[in-house]
Amino acid sequence: MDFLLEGVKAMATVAGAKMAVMWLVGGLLIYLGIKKNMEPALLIPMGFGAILVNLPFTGVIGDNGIIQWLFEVGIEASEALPLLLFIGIGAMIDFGPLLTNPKLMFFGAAAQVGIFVAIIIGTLLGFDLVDAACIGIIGAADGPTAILVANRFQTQYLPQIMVVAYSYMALVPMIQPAVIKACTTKKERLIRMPYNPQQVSKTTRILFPIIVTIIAGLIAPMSVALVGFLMFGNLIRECGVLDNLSETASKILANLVTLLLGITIAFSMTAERFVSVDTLIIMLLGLFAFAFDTVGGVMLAKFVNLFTKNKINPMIGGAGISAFPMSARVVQKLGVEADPENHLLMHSIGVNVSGQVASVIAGGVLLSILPGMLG
Amino acid sequence: MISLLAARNINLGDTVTALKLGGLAMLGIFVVMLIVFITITIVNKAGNGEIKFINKIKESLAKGKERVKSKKKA
Repeated sequence: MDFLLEGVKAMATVAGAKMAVMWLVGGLLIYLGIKKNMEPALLIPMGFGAILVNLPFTGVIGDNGIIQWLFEVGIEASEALPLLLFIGIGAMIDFGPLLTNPKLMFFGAAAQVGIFVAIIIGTLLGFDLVDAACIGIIGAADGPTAILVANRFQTQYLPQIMVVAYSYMALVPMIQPAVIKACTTKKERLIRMPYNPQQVSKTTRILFPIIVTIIAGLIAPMSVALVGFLMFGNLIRECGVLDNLSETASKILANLVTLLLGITIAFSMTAERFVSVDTLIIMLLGLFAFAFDTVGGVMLAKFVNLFTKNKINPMIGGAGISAFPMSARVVQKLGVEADPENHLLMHSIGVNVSGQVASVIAGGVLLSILPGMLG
Repeated sequence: MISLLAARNINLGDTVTALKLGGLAMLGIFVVMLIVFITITIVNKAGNGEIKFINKIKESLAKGKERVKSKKKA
């Protein structure tokens, strides 16, 4: 009869108590996904996976464990899952608002500064440079980029980074308004920006993904996998002759990969790795990263306003993070809150998609530069 | 908190490298975005017929096509 009680007995140890903590973490993720509608497509599989891998003598990890196999094949060996997700994301994005006003690209770039602020603070809090870099990439506000960079550098903090990145992405509507309001004056929030929609030619739409891939590849070769797959998805969307593939990529492929990615990531959410003080510090660093990203975008807009006649509403700079379309919606809401006639949505959408490109480039640049600096 | 931090092995050398990394990486991101911006602006302007040089090329190509057509007819 002992075999019936083995699992229960295992829970009465310190390791068992840690597992119980992970059940709570898993339950919390499921709760946030269902009740608060926070990134449910990822948080629910991750939450359930966290419970699965934290059962005593669980059969999903180990030599014949399905979740371990998915992790080793889909993430560790090839990074196939996050990369395939990029094809789907690329097929979903309309770069039109950005191509109408290409100047917006710089706000996306500025809003990556939080990544590096978090890296610097991370080293000051005792993480080594590689781990700090992996934690900093939470500031890319882009799940697949965070997974890819963290996995490429083989950090032990992959599960925490994943959970924190997706949680904060879902919390953008709570984090960003406070930061944006703290960095702008009422007068600045009232600045109106007329929107003059321009026709973007099909040639431009088709050339954009090709040009971005070539340029990013020449300057940061390690970014080719990230940028290339994102832009490949976008090329399928814009070419106009692959509608079926575009639809499959943006719906079926993206959903399927998301489903597997969430539960696969849970492989590393075992109690002995997750329950630690480091997890709390990583949550704090992730918050810093998101906050400083927002500050970076807003500050660039303020800086540009010093030299231009047609003032930019600095709030749109805050939409330069990759969390799409939440960040753009936050800015639109703040604009309307300041003045019911002040509609900033199209500008903030343009900045938001530029943030998607910039975050992927940031990941690639990090992958290119850091190994060289480590010697 | 302070005692927690004191127990951690902080390496200021890493912080200095992180500062360099941040500077270089932001420069890299801005350079990529700048080149993409310039290229897209040129492509947009060319598409809208705002670049004389490209307009001339388009015109001469169109003329060439007409010549070929008229030669074929002849």
